[in-house]
Amino acid sequence: MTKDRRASTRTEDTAAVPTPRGPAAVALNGATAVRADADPPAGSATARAALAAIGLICAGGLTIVAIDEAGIAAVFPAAAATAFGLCALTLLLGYGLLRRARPVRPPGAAVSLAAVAWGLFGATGLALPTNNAIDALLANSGLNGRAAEGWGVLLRGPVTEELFKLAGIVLLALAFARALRGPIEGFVIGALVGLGFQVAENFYFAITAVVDGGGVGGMGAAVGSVLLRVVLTGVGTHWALSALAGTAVGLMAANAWRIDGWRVPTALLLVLAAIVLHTSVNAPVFTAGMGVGYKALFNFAVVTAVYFVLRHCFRRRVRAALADEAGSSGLDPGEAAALARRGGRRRMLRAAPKADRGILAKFQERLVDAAEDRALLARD
Amino acid sequence: MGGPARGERSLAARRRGVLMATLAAVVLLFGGVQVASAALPGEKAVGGGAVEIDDGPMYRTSVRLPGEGWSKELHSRAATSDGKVFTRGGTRLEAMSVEPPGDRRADARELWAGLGDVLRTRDREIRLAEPAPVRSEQGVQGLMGATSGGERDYLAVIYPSPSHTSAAQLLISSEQGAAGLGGEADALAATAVVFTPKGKAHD
Repeated sequence: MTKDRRASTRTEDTAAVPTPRGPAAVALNGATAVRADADPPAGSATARAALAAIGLICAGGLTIVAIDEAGIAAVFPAAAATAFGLCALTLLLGYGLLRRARPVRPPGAAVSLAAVAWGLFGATGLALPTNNAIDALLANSGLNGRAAEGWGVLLRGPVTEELFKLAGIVLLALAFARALRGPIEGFVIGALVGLGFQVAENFYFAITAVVDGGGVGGMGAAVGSVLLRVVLTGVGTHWALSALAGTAVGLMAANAWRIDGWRVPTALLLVLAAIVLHTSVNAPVFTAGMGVGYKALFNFAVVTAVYFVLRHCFRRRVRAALADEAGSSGLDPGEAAALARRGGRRRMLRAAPKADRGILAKFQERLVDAAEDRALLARD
Repeated sequence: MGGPARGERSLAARRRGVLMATLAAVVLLFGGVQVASAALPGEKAVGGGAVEIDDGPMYRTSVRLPGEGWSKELHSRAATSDGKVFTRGGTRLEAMSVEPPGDRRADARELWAGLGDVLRTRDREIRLAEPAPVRSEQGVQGLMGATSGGERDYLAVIYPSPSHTSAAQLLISSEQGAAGLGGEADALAATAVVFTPKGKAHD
């Protein structure tokens, strides 16, 4: 991009941001018109009800988790604090990485935090008592001890936990309809829900390890448990499995929740895949040595493949939408398509005079908004 | 002109339907399992003989329940995650297997102090008394002592496994309180824990 060209762009940008005119306005307003048809109005009764349900269930879950774990944390404060610190660190790291996994730009902070909260408290608070009750049911079932234990391992995690996490992703899609409109957004929001659950589970197992270790060497037991779960299975468990379930929710949201077309069986297949992959990690086979680690790596490979397909499709659509609007925005198609990347937007901002960067950033935001709307609402 | 409005209405209806279905599924799964579990008996009869509490790499740890009439509690949780709770009449037996972290040796004295802490996770006032040595019928050396100050009085017993890689812990209590912890509790303490080396049948 030449200096003159930048200057010309700057002038047009300055004029375009407050009131886009000509084809740009058509593109932006057109996208808005499509959105009005496909998106519910912000703050609809359903969105408010879904948000209230998320808040209530998370509050209840937090109470259940606190009652369950407070006793151990009070007697072994050093081990609990260390485990908490390590878990908080993995949460922060995962939160940053997974939000960045959304192509073009990260999901909003509100929906991201709500997703993590659902995993940490909502799904965990629902799963803890349900899993205990399933254990009691299986013990009553007439199965012998080992068979009941085996079925417990298969049913508890894969079925109850995956379904409770999935329910949260659906509620998030209803409460934050603008943030979850397609499979790639579902993937990232689902992964954040799974991350929250994974961190809550890591903390639970860490402090339980202190007690199961006989109350000796508490710190070592807690640290060992967290590290083992992060290093050995961390790459392919809850965040990855819920990413698949989130993709399923994204597919349904993209279809305006209609129960027709290819998206329904595909969504069901993705949820089933999450349950089956969870079952494989929990199953008491192929557990010697690095066995569980290999199973987690397999899950990671599957989920990564799904991610790259989704990312490629979404980016391609956003780039095409941006290129379409190039003429009206004073950018050439290549420059417009480069806005689909964070680096491309940064480079354009750096090239602009400091005084214009604020308004140029807003212009980029509007262009990307419109392009994402078109990309997400494109029907196959 | 009525198209988009109708479209919006039907989308709103579908979203409402999805919300209701999701909440119903959560209530059904969470509540249904709880109701089903609560409706079933809270205990299951176990025959006399040995009940496995841990299947470690070197030893299988079991508890031998003397005589008939023992039941396994299905809703009660033991102090450790894999512990089992048995009852007969007014007697309650929590049988647990613990494994110190890493390469740490299962030392009876250390585990005694640890058990005191573990008990305090569910009852802050409970204290373990100074233990006395105990020897199981199998010849394993352990420690035994009573608790005080808690809502419930226990006779606590610890037997490190012969390889000192794990330990069996018993918590015996009675509906009659400390007064009920008499001969049956002492007999359980001495005979209940059985370590079977891998590759051999139960004693």
